[in-house]
Amino acid sequence: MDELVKAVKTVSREKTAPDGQKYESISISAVRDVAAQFSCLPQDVELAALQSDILPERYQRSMGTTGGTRGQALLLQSQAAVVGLGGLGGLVAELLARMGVGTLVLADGDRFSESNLNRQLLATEQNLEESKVSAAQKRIGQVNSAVRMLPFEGIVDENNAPDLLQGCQVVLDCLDNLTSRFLLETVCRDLGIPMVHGAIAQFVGQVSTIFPGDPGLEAIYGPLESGRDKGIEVELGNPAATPALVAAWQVQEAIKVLLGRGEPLQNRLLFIDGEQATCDIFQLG
Amino acid sequence: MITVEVVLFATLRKYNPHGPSSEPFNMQVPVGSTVDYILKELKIPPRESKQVFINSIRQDRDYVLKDGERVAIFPPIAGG
Repeated sequence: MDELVKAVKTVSREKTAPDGQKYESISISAVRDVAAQFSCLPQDVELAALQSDILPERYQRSMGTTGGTRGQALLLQSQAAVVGLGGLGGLVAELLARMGVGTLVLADGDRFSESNLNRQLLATEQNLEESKVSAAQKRIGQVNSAVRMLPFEGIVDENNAPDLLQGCQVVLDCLDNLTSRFLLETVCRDLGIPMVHGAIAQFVGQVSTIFPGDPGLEAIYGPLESGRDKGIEVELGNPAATPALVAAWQVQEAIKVLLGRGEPLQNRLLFIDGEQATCDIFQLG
Repeated sequence: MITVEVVLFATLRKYNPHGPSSEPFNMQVPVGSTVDYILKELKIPPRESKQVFINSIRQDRDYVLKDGERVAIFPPIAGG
């Protein structure tokens, strides 16, 4: 038997789930000890555990969603890109890390400023002027040490995007302008990667999951035009709750894509109007 | 004339002729009217209304409306 698997089995413990089912569990401290012993990453230990039907305890409450150790192993072996780490992306990155998506590309060229504090989860009074990528790395490191991070501090463009996104199974569009969003979509389409689009303004937000052959952003916004790079958020701003609503939907879509579960918002646009308390779904093409 | 139901979302509700609201309202328009006709009647500037959905399906501005259809008009939102 593989030595790592043997070590994992030695430190696992039987536990009882809230529904009374027994399962084998491994704690964070045991994962760390085994990783140190084998000079490997916590992710390697968690994966060896999951493949032996031993559940890292941290994922216990996700089991009903991921479908057990096999689904969790699939997430841990997955790679997702979070492009833009502001109001949407900060929350998206943290939630993906909590779900145990094993590798996260974290891309943003910006630093935190005071006007980010009203809504950007990773912005604090202590980290103003820190790069958003660096803050995300710190936070994810605190939340889930089994997540591998591929940080990129800079603006995603047509030259760097293919290398950055290569190897991802899903990309999350958390950007704040149309030019970059369309560019990201083009690269995702070329690479054959589904993209989960999210956008916000004041009380309203929208989500759609765009697969490579879909009409995508053009069906939402019409063709990209010069001089029209932003929406009504420029005059209305964004409060705290709207990015959280949309980011949560984006993460749920990404997890579904990675697990091959449920019905994605494909060729459909979810439009949330918090002020009127309405949700509508519109058909795109 | 035909009658269509119009819903104006978010910032576009200010163009509701019955007062700023996202409540649906009926409009009577000549047979053969397009989406563009509605936008002009409601005085919605073109740059504020790139997204028009007829019975929940996206349509272009030259789409010819039919009696009883629901016209939903959105402003572009792009914040992150």
